[in-house]
Amino acid sequence: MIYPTASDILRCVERNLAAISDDDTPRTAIKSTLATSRHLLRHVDLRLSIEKPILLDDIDKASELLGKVATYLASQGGESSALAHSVRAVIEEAPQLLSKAPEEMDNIVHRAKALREQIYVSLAHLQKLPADAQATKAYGEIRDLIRAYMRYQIEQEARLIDPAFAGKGPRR
Amino acid sequence: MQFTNSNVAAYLSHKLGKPCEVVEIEKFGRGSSRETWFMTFKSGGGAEEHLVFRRDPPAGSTDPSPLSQEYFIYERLGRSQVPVAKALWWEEDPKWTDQAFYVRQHIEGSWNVANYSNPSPEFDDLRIRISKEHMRKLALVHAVDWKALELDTVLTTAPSVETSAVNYIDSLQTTFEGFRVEPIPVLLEAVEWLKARAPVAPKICLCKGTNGLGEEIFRGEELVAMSDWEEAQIGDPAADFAFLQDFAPTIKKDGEVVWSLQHAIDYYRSVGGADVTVASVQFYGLVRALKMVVFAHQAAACVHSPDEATIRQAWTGTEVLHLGKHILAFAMGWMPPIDPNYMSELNASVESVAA
Repeated sequence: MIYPTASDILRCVERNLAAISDDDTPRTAIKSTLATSRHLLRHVDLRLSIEKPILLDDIDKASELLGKVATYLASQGGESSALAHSVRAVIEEAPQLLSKAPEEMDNIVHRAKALREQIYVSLAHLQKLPADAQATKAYGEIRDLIRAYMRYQIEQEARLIDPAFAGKGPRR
Repeated sequence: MQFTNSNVAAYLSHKLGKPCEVVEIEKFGRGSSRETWFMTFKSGGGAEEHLVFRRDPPAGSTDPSPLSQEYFIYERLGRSQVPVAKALWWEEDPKWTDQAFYVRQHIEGSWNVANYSNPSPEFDDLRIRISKEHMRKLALVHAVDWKALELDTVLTTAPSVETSAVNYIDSLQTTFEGFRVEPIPVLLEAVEWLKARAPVAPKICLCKGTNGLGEEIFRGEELVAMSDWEEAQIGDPAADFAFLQDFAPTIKKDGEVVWSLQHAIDYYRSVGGADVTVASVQFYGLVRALKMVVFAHQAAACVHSPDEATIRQAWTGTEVLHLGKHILAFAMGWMPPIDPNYMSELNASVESVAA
């Protein structure tokens, strides 16, 4: 996931810790909030350590995938060609954006999100193509490439989730 | 309105037309979609009285349906055979609150059934009795005349038995698009995959949405009030069996399975339930995972917003969201299965571990 960001989560934890600080808060509510906070803090720690390289790698993979998606869409003509054009425009935007402030996390997040949005929009478009187009080998191949990207994305997300939560006690 | 003793006392005194003194205010620790507050108060020298206040968390509910819909369902079901707490009134008067809430009757009982979760075989018969009790009440829900109660004016309603699943999936996708803050391609993939496998419903009926241990109120072994209607819809009754939270346990005696989901469905049919199949229940289990992604993403959006999100929303928007994606990817055949031990971890709470 891109959102909530590590900063979003830290703000949320801080506010919720403040909320349970008054004397009237039931013991169970305190324990529950502390348990959840500990999991989230471990998660934020992972985000701070490895999210940036994960997103930079994601940007590379998404750009490569979108290049192939754009080629396929362009071959279909009509609305698909128009979409191919806009997909290529977003791919071309990437290097300039990152070269301005390559270490800036907000910049990286913005870029990763923009590219993923193109994958999302392209997938939605592909799903609506006529049955005869969907029956072709080229269509099947492009869908498989998108599935491979989605799998990769979930696997990378697991690196930010599993070590923080799994086997670390009740969440709430 | 902050639910402090003085604010609530002033409000209840005004609303009930008699001076009220608040004895205790307790925020219910379970549940993540909305806030439930138990108000105990006295008037004059009278006995303690109890009311339940419900409202959204400050950053909004994790569940996409509005609070007003939940109130409407309680109000309408109060006219049916389904056991529910009576909805008393809706409050949005800016003189009293900047955030709408509603008030309902307090039902004496507990979400927990003593010894239900005790793994000792001596409680197997108890588990079967509770499962049957739940099936009887679920059959009542599925028999509700939803048209007469006008529930279709607020709930997603399937146009036909053939299109009920597709309609439900479409409604989830529409809901997701209404608040999404980032693209989730696996959701699109899953929507397409599920639609291609959609079963025909045996009937179109009111479905509660979330069921099982923790969702209902019991007094002894009687289910006295069905709670948590925020995920209700009108569609395939199989959807209600996809989230039973341990209320259709598999129980063996002398090596023979004496109770299971199939047994529960058979019993449900015998008390007037619809012709639900295990295959349909499994399908709706995956729709449930899709729904998990939708509501978890809404939680993520709440945490990303400048409003004050709850800590539970932060957890839902991270680990639960990831889990939902993994379940869908596994169902579609391109991720490994999830460790069952991990799944049982997710159901643990600080209360259950302490017990």
